[in-house]
Amino acid sequence: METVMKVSNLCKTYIMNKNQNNVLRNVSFEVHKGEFISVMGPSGSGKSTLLYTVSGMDKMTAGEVNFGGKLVSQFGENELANLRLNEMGFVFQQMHMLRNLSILDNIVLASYHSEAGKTKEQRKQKREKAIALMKQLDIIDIADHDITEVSGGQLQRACICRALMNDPKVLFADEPTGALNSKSAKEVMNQFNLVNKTGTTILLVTHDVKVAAKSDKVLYMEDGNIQGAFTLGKYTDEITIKERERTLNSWLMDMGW
Amino acid sequence: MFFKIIKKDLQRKKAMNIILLLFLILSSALIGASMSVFYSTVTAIDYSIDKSNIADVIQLCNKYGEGDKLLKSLDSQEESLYKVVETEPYVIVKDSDIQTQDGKKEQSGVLMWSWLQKIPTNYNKVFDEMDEALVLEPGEIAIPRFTNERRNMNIGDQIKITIEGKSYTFTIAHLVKDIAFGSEMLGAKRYFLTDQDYEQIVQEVGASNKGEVLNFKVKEGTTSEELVQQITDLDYSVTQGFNFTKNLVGFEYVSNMLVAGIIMVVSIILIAIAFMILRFTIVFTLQEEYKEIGIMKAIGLKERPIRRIYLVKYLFLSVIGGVIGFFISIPLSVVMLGSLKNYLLLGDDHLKILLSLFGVCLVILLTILFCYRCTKKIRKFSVMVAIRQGSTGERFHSIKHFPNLQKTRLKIPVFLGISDLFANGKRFVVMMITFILGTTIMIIPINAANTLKSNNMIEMLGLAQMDCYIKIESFDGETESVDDYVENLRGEFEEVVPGIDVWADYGVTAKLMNLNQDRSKNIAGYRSIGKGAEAYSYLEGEAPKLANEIAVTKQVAAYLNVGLGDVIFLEVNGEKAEYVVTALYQTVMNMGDGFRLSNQAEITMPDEQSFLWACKFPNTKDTKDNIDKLQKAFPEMEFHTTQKFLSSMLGSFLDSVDDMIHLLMAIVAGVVFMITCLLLKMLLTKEVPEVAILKSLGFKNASIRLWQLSRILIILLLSIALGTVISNTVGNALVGLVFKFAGAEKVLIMTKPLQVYIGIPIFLLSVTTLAAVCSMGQIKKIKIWEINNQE
Repeated sequence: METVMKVSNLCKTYIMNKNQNNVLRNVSFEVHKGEFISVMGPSGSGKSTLLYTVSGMDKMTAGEVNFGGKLVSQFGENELANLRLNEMGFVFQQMHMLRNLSILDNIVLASYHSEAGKTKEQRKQKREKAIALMKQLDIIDIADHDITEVSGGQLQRACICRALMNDPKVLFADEPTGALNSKSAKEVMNQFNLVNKTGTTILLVTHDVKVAAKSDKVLYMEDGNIQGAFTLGKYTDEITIKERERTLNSWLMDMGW
Repeated sequence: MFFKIIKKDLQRKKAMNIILLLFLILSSALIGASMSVFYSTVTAIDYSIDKSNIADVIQLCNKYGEGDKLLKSLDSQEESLYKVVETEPYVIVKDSDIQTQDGKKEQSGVLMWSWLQKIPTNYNKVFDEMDEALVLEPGEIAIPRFTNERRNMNIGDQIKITIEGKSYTFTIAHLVKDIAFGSEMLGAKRYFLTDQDYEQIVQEVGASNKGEVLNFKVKEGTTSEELVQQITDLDYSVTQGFNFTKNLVGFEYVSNMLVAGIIMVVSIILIAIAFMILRFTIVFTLQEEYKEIGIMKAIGLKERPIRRIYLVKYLFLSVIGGVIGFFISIPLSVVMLGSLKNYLLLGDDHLKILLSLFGVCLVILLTILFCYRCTKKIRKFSVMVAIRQGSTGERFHSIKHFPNLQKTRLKIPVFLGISDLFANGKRFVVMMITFILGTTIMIIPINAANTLKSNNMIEMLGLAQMDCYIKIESFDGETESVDDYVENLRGEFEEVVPGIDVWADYGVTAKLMNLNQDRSKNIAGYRSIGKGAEAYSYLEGEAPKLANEIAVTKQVAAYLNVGLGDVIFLEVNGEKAEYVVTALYQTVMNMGDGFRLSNQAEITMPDEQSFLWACKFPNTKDTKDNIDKLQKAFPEMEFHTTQKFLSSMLGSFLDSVDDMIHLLMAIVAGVVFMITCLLLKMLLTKEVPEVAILKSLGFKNASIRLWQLSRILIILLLSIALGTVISNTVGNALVGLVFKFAGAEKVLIMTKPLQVYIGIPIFLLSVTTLAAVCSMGQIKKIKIWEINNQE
């Protein structure tokens, strides 16, 4: 299977008040094309830092991240911005969007800014793609709404649409259901699975077993390192979910969760 | 606890607080200095006039013996209006005959009228540099400050004065403060000698170079103006000379007051800007600290102690700003008073400092009151609203999505900038007002200065358009007629500059009366030689062509109560003749009074005439070259540009305006820079999540900077456009009013498009861009993961 991202001996250290805090300690793992990986672990274990470091949002202290054959650590600010614009997608816990723009405008904004969105024709195509994605994620009705006029679940789905606009190689998600109620969280996770089925690789950080149970593989982090990996296999239908959750829970308890 | 919170706040918003402090310092310093300068200027004029014991009416008689005749004529009136009169003799000296020992230094280029006299003891007294009564030793001379500035003559220099071919050498001992004649607006300057030296010279000088000053004190219950009118109404009139009143002496220094007044207006504008910033900062801080305020309210703190935190902070800032501003205002007022101190006695300094202190205290008090008013908002926050960061969860208006992203062809960062302006216009109001004010307060004086320096001004002076002004001192009216002299000049100049037009404006003081002879006035007017009267501009009517035709200024026409076609009397040298008013024109010379005769006018001119020699070249582009050629060919004459002529006519006023423009440009640059920095920093603090979102979406730092910069530049360009429109309408009307005050009916404001439409925008654009670049460093430091730290 094709390797999309290879992380080797990744370290991240923060210095706070002259104290050294080693948040990531020699983390190594691989992400293959089409995989849906969840990262779990207790608070402060380094999950979010891992996500931000491997995606180039934060600088690593040591180690290597090979993204599609390119070393992220060697990239400058502009190259990293290009990478985020063309090859990565991000979904955050808080549904951040620009307040002055409608939902549809927020979704197409970055794609209009990319090289493939400069001409009138290109922009038209991007807009059609956004509408298709919104239809797929069942939020087409809110296309012209303000971001304050929609529910959290709808907003998060809009954020997923935005992240998918430039066909990213990997979609990074930091607790995307953390601020949602259980119904909205379920809807959002269904969309992640849908997206994953179309071939998009996903790396997701979560606290929620129900969320992680829908991924192919779960990495368990503690004290800045990956303590173990558990392969669940592809999530296919709702019937198997209870069993997946139970198995995952059992493994997590073994890991000390 | 309060001080801990304040300390933390001051540290956290360092840049914002520093800029606010700078504004408070600037406002305090300027208001302190301008109050002190304004007070000093107003009191210095009265104090100096008082100390100098200026006569109520000063009559100059440049022709020896005319003073006696005038007095006899006055005494023959039924009722004499003066109480005392003192006659002071003087010796007339040509400007070019006063030279430094090492030969000619820089020439003034001004048509000057200088004379030597004894140190006055009763009226129009003069003072040395230390404001003490002038004392000289034999062989010493005291020169006017004007000569020191224009001709670079200094204390210790030897000067040689030549009268009727005989030379006298003196050492400059003092630069004298001559209140009555010291103003640059007056073209007559006095040089002082010891009684002994003066007597020696006066014995050797003929009557043609002697003159006298009559200093009148009017009787109680009589005004100076009434005495002047009585002098005008006499059958006898002085042929060479003029008179002015004590009140006019104060008016001569009006330009100094004008400059002080403008600085005061600028200070008030700055304070208004500082308050707008203060309000913006307070509202911004409160919005940013909704949560903290909510928590303070939730734990039981009442509104008053919460407000006190903010008030103490701003009290602290305004007191620091006020104290620093006060100390800056002291040297600043000394600098501002620099030129005034050279001409006037400033008197007591203590009240001046107290006034500065009062101005600064006023700024502090206003700041605190203003802050108190702005923090009223705290009362409105309920605990829940504050904790929910100002939102009640309700919204009644949808956001207008304009411009439409789906239709735009703009670059996305520029689109975002425009979108911000439409969605959050209020945030940019302070900046827009500052930019508009900045543009306006630069363009108005620039237009005024350009008008003063332009050829339009020549027209407003009531003269014909010229390229070159010629200073000729060699013309002798007794041996040669002026018409022949002009013709000869034309012939000689033609050989150097073919196609040149040469003419002279022939100055004469005459008494003008209406037909009923119930209104009369002594007025200086012109007749041109070598140029038809039709070459001059008129507001109404036709140029005087026949010998008995005359044009008068609108002001004179109104005074004499005459109009076009009416007949008036003109009296020169006791000869009275009738003239028909054929045209009305304007002049800013002689307070708007003037007349112009046709070049056919048969008028007996006085022996000593004053001439204004001028020429126009066939091609204006070659002016500089032609002037150089003429100067080389005729070294005994002086050739000057129109600008130099205007500068000599308008004295230090032009210099003051230029200095003021430089000061205003510096202030505007500082204010615009600080406002841009402050606003951008504040917006960036608020927009960290937006910046993080854009970064996460793959926007480069440069694109984010473009977003931030584009909205500032759009605001700037809009403001410049609005400011330019305001300056060219309201501003020009204001400038017009000032000119109207000086006698101009129709003002042609000179706008230099390159300077106003290109220069100023580029200047403001550069300052703003520099400020933006300096404040946007923070963008690079914002991390994407900071998204989660907000709200």
